[in-house]
Amino acid sequence: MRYPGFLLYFLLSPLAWTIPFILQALALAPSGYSSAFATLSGTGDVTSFLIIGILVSIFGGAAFFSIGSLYQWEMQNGTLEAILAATPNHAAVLAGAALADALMGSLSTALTFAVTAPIAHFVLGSHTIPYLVTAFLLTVAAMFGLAALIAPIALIVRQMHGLLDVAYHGLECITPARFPIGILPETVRVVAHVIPLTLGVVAIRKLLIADYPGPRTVTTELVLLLLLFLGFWLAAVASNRLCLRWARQRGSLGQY
Amino acid sequence: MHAIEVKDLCKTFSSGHWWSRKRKHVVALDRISLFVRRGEIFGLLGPNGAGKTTLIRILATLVLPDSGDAWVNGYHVVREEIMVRRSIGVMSGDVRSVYWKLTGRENLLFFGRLYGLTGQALRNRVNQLLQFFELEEWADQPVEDYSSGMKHKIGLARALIHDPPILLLDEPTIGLDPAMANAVRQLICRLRERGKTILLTTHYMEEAELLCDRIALIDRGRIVAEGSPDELKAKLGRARVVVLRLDRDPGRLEVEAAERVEVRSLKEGGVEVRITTYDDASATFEAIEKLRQRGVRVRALSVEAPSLDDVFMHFTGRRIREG
Repeated sequence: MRYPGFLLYFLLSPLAWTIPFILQALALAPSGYSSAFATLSGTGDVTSFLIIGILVSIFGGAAFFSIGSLYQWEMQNGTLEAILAATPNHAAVLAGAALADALMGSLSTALTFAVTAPIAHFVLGSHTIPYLVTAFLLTVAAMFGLAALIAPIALIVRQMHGLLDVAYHGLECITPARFPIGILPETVRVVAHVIPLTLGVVAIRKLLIADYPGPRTVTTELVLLLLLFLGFWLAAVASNRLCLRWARQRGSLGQY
Repeated sequence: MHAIEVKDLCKTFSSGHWWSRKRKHVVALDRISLFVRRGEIFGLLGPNGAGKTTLIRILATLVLPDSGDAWVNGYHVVREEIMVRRSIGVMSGDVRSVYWKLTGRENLLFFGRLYGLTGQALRNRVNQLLQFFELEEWADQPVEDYSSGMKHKIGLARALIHDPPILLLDEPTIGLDPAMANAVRQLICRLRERGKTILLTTHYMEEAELLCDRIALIDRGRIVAEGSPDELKAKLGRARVVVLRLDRDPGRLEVEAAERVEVRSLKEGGVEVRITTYDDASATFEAIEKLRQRGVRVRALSVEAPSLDDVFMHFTGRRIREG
């Protein structure tokens, strides 16, 4: 709380990112409903569809960039070597940073959800909440895993911000956060389904939008998210080991 | 068992891209062997690029050696790196090794937790260190508000948070003004009194001479001489250094009675001739006579015992500060 401005940023910026998309939805479908949109997406509720996409996308993006920049941030700060020369389990440091970011991200998302919910037409039954929380947590945990897999590349490639930008915006191109997945070519749709954001967005829409069938049908997405979460984190451990070894051999650890 | 043992350690670095024809290979360590006894301050003295930092970074498990072995506190630096990290505290002269936005106390608490310290034990340890380094008044100020000396102190306190038996200090006084450098040197001496083994690198001869029980002179990845400061100077035998201050450059000067003659310009103006000799009287008279013939005036004359820099010069043919 030394810098209260940051709190304001974390709470208000997701709102600022969301509002233009709500306005866009209202412009495309003034009543909030579009039958043309329904043929592609399975729901005509454009506003709810977009709000969920943007919420998950904002939080997923924050998770991706915070963990993805972890090594680079410590390198820029000059503290990476001090941390690595310490005894601890380095995975614990990464997990600690992930949890801290998840906490701030959850606050932002909860606030944005609370503010945008009245505009949308979410259906939120008490039996839906456990599924919703599970889908949300698995999405974020898998995004953290994907970012943790990429983060140690900063030890090899110094232009990490650029790499993260390209990687994330590449993912966004095939993640149906702002468009229905039906608009993608069939082969790309298959690829889109191994991105945690896609699975998360699809699952949460199924849970919150009235036109979709509800909790019974999200099992596949949840199982896939769990598998991605495990797979990404296992790959992240290997990637960390490889990149650290590479940097220690080159003697470039901590150089920025 | 020694605190640190190094045997035939080699490390070569490559610079440039792997596809580039301009890619260079630099030998940083060339079959280095040494040992550091428990409770002593051991100094690595050499010019920039001599390989001092590379050796420290290998011992700190931050760099992998190409070949050879090293043990710290009895643990192998490659095979038992976790145990090595438990045994060492590492501090470099880079004052950015702590978080500047956090206070000194918060930094120590954070790094203490990284070493598994918690609760009252951690708080007590932090208070002890803040007291030892005389940082109590500043403990709750952000590090960015600290002076350079205080940043060095908090970096040193961070390295000591888990009370390691061995300290690796890389240029611990670099960038400090003389008064603050002396304060840090005094702290290092007090740490030795508390039983810590300290391996430090420096390119300040006075610092090495003042602090170290033993010194290794290192140049281009090789140890050229090793011993206590007195033992190193004794390697020059009964040699003395005659120093002449001149009003102008005399050009190339040859003195038959001298082992070595060096002419160098001084920052403060004028020129200095350093004549290393076993017969200071003959060498002095010969030099003065030759200078008189060239019309160069001698402003001052002194005879000194050889410094560590002279010993380094004797073994490598160049000065530490020329590195």
